[in-house]
Amino acid sequence: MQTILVCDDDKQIVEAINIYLTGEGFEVIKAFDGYEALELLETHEVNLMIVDVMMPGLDGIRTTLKVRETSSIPIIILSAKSEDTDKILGLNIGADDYITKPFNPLELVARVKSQLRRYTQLGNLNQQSNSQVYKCGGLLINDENKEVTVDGEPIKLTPIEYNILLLLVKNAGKVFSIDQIYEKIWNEDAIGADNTVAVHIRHIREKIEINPKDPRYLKVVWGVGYKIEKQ
Amino acid sequence: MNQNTKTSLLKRLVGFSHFIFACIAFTGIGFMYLNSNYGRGISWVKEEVFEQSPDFNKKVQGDITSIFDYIQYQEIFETNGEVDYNKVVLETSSGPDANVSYTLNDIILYAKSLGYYLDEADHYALKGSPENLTEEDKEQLYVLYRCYQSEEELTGPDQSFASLPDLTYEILRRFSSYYSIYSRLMSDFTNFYFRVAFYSNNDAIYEIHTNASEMSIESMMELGKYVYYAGDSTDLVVRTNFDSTFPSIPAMMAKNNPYNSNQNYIVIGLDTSYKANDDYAQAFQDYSSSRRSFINGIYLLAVGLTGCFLTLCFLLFASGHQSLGDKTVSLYPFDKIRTDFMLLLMAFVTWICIRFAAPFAAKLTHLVVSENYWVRANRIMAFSFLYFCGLLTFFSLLRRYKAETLWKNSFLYELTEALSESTFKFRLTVSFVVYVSGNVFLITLAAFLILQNEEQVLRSAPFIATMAAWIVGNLLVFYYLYCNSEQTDRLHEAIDRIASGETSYKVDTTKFSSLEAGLAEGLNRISDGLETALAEQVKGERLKADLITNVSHDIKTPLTSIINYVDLIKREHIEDPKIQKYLEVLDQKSQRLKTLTEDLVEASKASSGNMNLEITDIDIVELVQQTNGEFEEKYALRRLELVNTLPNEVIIIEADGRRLWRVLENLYNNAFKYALENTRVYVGVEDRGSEVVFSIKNVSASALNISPDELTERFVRGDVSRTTEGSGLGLSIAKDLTRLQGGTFTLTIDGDLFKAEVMFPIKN
Repeated sequence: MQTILVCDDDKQIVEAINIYLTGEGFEVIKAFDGYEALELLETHEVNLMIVDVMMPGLDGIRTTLKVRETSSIPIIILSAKSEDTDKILGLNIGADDYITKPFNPLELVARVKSQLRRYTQLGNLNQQSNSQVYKCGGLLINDENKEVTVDGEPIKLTPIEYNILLLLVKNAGKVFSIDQIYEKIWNEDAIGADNTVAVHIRHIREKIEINPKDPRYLKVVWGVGYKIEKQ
Repeated sequence: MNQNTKTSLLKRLVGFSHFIFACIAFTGIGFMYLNSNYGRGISWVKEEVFEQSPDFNKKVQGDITSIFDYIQYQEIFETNGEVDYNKVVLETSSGPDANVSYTLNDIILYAKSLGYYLDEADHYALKGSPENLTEEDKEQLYVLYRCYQSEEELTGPDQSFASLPDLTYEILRRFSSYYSIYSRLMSDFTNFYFRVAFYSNNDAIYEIHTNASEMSIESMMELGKYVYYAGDSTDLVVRTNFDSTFPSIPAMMAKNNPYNSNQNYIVIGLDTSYKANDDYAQAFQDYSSSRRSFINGIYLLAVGLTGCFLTLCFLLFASGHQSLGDKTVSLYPFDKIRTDFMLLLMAFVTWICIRFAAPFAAKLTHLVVSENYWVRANRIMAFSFLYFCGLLTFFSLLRRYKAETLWKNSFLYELTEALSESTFKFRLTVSFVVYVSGNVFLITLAAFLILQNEEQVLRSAPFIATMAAWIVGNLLVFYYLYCNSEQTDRLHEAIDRIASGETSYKVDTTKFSSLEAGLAEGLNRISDGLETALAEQVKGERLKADLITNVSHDIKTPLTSIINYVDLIKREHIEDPKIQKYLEVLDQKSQRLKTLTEDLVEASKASSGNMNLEITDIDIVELVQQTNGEFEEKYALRRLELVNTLPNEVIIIEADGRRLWRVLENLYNNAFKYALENTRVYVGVEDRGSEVVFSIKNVSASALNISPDELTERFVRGDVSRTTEGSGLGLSIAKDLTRLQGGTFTLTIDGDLFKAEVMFPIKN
């Protein structure tokens, strides 16, 4: 049984998250401001923390900073602030994920699970050092047995989707245009407008990303191409 | 053969024909005036005949005078109507009892020995001159008698002495004149008939001089032109049908009248049919031919001028253009030389032509023009050279005018530009240098002129001191103006900077004095005011954006609870269809509220421009392909077919990729939401040279009875009922974002056809 600390000054939201998470079999501890959360962290064994930013007393950002002084548990920020700058700030001070309100409950649960898997399996992954295995954050490709896992969860891809993903992961950080991808994967010259590659990319995103519109791994560089974020 | 070479050939042909026509015109002028008709207009051709011409009248007058000369010479040289060579014409005395008489024969023989002769071809004019006169010849003789001068006519005693050659010359000159008149009027066949008759009171004694003794007065007066004058009181005037009345006739008649009587008359008749080949017939022929050439000249001139005019009109129209009707202007290398330099060059060339080439060419005309008119021929030739040089210059100027380089391609223009672009300080310095040098020159000159008689004054102390004081005074003025100009320049710079948007620019007021200090302070106040206004505007925009952001945060928190609890209720699997229906409404509306709050923040930022753009190079074709990939399957849900027309090339524009994707996403979403099911959505990218246009077209499901402008207003949607999802901000955000990135966003509605266009300039 994994314990999750939920911290938000809005009691109804905490209650709702509590319902979703207990439904998925997690144990939930509730806190309603930053100080309370820090106290609970000291007295309980907590596996993951969900924290709101705008709270009376100690806000989410400072709470996260305090927690990071002593602990490395996954922290997910849940905030109504949806600006890019807010997200960048949150992730930079030590949060592992950032979810904006109003959130999709399913997405929240998926992200919680993903963070927990990564956290618990981190030790195992490090031991694997095979030249046939490519890793990028929680995304893992084992080229020997053509297996793809995201945070330990196996993903089913078609051969073309697999080849595209492998190409991008092998060259993580490099941007490939649609024509380049087409030429590499199909081994043919790209002739004119075809949506095939873009559609495949979308399919891959739908499979490996929790929220395909806000991808963590396969990023769209609009007007230039696609890339896997180097992590 | 293409259009250009055709036109070029045609232009050359027309240019050549202009040259030919001009030559014809000049030839015409030559025909008209390279003869004795110079200075007479066309009216002369129309109105005058030979008998009215001044030459003719002069000739008649001359002949009338000749008649009376002849009458006088008859007395000197004739005896009984015949030339008497034995007649004594001169008596001299070289001393007492040394009187010598000379007959006409003696004189002629002596003249021959001196070298005189009568030229028969030239009306028996006296030619030749005495050479190697001996001392004897030069001896002064006392003249006792000479045939051509009576004693009374001698005015002084000194005239009584003369040398023999002089006397011979005088006599022979008269003899030649007599012979000339005689040969013309008397012996040869002539058209000029005359009779002069003097009667004494005694009818038996009379004198008649005539070359037509058989003709009656009446028949002579019927010959065409006549003069009749009688000495008696019946006629006071000269009766004539000549243009002139020959007023000298009565006096000459009186002078030659040998009798003290008024019974005399003169009648002259001219046969205007010119049967005889005499002077008159010759003159008439010359007159007729010069008249013919004058008329021919007029025709040539008319043809030449017309041709010149027509070809000139064509060339005016066509010059400088590659082909007819072409708007562009092409210049010859000659037209690219600086205008003023070209003018000087052409002036020089023209001078060379007139100075050297024209006289050379004029030599050719001398072959056909008589010597009397060479000056005029030279003038016409010089003018023709002037014309052709002027023509070349004019067309070059015309082409320059057409190409609008007439003024701009000149040194003068550059000079004025250089002066006007430089600072006030510079202009002032230049004007001052000119002013001072002018003044110094004038004052020195004046002083010199006044004191030129006392040159040492120029070197005197007072003068030098005055000049020095004057120069120092001028320099002080200059220094003051210079300081002022520096201040003006500083003010200029400040105004330029503020005007170009650097509103925080301040002038250092300590560097200004008097009037300029006030100006500088004023400028600083303006800059302060602008700065404050700008800051307040920015602050206001930011406050507004912040307000909307904060409000949206405050809305989002309760909204989260609503959405979550609605979801939780749904999970309770309540069977009651009523409650399920209510839940559906709650779910829909809460989701809509969610998009609304999100879009509201973006719309406020996009419209206020309060966002940071990351402008990079973007391939718009790639972006559209990516967007197609995102939407293809979504469109399939509503059975919309996505039709692409994308160029197979890379078109780079400068934009913020994520924001441009938002624009396209909103447009695709718009089509997705409002397009009629089972229709096609057309997307395309069109390369228009300097810009690229992305367009999306779809058929609207509901009637679009609103204007495109209204559609991009916030919260306006194609369906008035607002049942479908969407905030009504999509198009507004797309438009604002496009504008922020430097693009153009246009919507067109044609019936049910909805068309959106996003235009961006292409990066080279």
